[in-house]
Amino acid sequence: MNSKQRVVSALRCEKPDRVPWVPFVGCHAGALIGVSADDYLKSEELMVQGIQAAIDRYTPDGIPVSFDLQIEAEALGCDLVWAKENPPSVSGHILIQNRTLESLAPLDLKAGRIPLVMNATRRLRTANPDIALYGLITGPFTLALHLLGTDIFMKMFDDPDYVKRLMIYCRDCAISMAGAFVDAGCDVVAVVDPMTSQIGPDQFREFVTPYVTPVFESVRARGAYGSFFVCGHAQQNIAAMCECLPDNVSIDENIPLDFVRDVCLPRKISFGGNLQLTAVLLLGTPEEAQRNAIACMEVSGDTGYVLAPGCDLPFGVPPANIDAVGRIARDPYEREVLKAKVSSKASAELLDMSQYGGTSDKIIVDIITLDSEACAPCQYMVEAVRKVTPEFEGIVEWREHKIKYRESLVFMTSLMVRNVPTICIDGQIVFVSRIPARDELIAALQKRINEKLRLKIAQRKASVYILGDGGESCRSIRANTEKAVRELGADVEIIEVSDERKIYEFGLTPVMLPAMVVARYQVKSTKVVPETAIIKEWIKDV
Amino acid sequence: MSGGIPIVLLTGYLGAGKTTLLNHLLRLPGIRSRKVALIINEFGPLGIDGKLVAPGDYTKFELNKGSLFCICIKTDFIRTLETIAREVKPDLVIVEATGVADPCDLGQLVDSPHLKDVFRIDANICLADATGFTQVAAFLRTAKRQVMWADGLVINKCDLVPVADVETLKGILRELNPDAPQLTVSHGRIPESFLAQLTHRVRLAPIPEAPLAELASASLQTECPVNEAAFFAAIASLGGGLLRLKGMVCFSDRSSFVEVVNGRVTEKEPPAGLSGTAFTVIGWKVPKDELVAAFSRCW
Repeated sequence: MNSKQRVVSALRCEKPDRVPWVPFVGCHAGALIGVSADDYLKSEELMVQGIQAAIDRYTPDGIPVSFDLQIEAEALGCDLVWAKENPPSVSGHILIQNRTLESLAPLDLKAGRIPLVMNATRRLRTANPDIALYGLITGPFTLALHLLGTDIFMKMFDDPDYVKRLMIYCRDCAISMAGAFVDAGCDVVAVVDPMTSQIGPDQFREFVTPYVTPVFESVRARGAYGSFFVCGHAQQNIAAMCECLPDNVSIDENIPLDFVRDVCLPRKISFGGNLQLTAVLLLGTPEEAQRNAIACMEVSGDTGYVLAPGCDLPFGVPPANIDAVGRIARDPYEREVLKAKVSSKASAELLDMSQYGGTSDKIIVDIITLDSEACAPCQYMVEAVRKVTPEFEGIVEWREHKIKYRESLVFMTSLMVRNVPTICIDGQIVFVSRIPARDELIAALQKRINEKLRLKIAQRKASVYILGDGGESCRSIRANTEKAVRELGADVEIIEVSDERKIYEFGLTPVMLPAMVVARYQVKSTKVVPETAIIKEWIKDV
Repeated sequence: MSGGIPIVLLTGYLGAGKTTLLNHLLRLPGIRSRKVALIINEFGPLGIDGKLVAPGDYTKFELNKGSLFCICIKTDFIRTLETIAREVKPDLVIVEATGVADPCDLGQLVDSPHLKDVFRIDANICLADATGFTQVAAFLRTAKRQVMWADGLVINKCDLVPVADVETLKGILRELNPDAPQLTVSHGRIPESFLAQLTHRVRLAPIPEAPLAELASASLQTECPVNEAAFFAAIASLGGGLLRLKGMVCFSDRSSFVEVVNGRVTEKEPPAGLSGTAFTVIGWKVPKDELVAAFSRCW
């Protein structure tokens, strides 16, 4: 199986010989050959050199020819502002400047940089027949925003017909551009429509679906494959995206990969993306990049998944990080070695949790999450716990452990938690990747409270102090106490204290004697050296 | 309060008046006396917002990555904050976020291991435009999410709408974010005391978006004549649940361009070239299906 076949196999929702790796190299290719993003994106020659350098270095299974969502807008007359380390920006929306929708001519494939990109595609195709080439086009909704700006959201109410006419225009541009890419030799057309993350599924179905679906139909009719790229908080639209019938849905790290897998695969639509672009690929180490790739591949499984970042690689992404991901994708041995390394490293840092929560007066609920602010299932799991705990009036305490922090990761590993989100009650894994119903959660907490009560009764030991001068009344107290202890079968030590100084330490004065003080002890640990964090929990109870 | 350079975040939909508010903030004595760095995160016409900010003694950074969104802008945002910490060392950073910026993303950035000890978010202020918030928020999720994440809500342009509309908006915003103090203003003129009373809440669990308890929109279309009595009865029956309606309605005896804003109905001559019934409605706490059903009974 060559690289192209591997990508195609995944896009067809089949099981390739291994997960294909498609680094979204955009202006980063400029960095690879030592030129700025603006010089790179304006030159056919540099684009060919840059992408070829990326292919030679990263040996990917697929690669985009360009990752620049301004190409169509520029060809339609929008002004651009160029940057040294980023793709350009649209600096003027022509439909709020001097143009009307009716005056816009169909997209001219000879305008702007379109010929440059198509020529580069042809040359890269010839030089690399066995790799999957992706042609990236601006999705119709995002192109509509380039043309009209954010006024589009006003117009969805004020003049929905206008928005729909604009979407028809953008649909036609997308079909033209997709056709040009396929004709130039691309195997996959990616419809990149990040702005759809801004709307809900109802609006998506009204303003996006009717205009994107024909784009995928046209791609398919030309014998190529269609991928629908989105980024941002677009979880609400994944099902609607699938209804547009792409071959593939590609997402960024804002959407849990298992959610996308579970929506896409039953519909026979492949999926991809989710590698963390900034925190890991840009700012992390090669090993962190590899761990992230392994995590993605473990969630995705080996059918119908394309390993990729969620968006174009930053200009200055360290090439070593991208190399490292490629090795993990290609080399199962390296993957196993790293997995082993992770577990040995983690075990060296494991906390001894055998006593965690067990002897505290409170019930401790630990929620292990990716981050409840970024991950919807995590958010709902935290919400479920947050709503229930007040009913236990202080007996139940909860904490969220975001595994983006190292200490949380160690905590998670120490509790043997393998999936997020997970709810642990007193250190025991109770709900894994499933948000419990309210009654279910209450029942689990109540069960633990009952267990703990039994445990505490069994573990309690007490002393009875009889404070006084040791005379007749003290002797009577002792006799009565001994009788009570005997009748109860309790494990209670009886201590007589007659030293005045010691009696004062109990807060009592001689006029208050005779007195009796009961002190209870709890066994907190045996035969182990408890961790400081755990001792803190016990001390908080005092 | 934890250490780090404080960040005040301004959010709000394009046109809500963020730049006006920013200019006002920069003139407040409590801010003017501090060393301020500004981050203007543009989405609209490039540089426009940046140019509108009054000149003054502050360092300004513009993030102009209008083409790309969400995750892609994070790299630039982190780099900018790093530069500010290294080179400017200000007493305060004010971030004017784009109208489509998701505030939880910005919060997460500052919460990231690279920045969390260097910066802290002091207050997240969201501007809601009294004239157009409900209209935009029905379509743009971010407009709602910005409100939900805010520590303080400034309802701007209150001079342009009836008092009753402001009250309706206040109720909606309170339901979206019951904890955030509200302030009604015109021209973004907030007193310094409002800023001082805000405390940033780190949300462990953000308020989930409950589909039924929010703004819903629906488009309706028909070739059949619309029963006038039934149509206006539907509007009346929805009451406060119908925030807006706008579009063409063909009754049996005439065609009208109908607009409803918070119960006030206006009818106009239809614009040239429009025919057939096609209108859009925005409801509050009325599911989309019910909105559609209420009007579908009219033909």
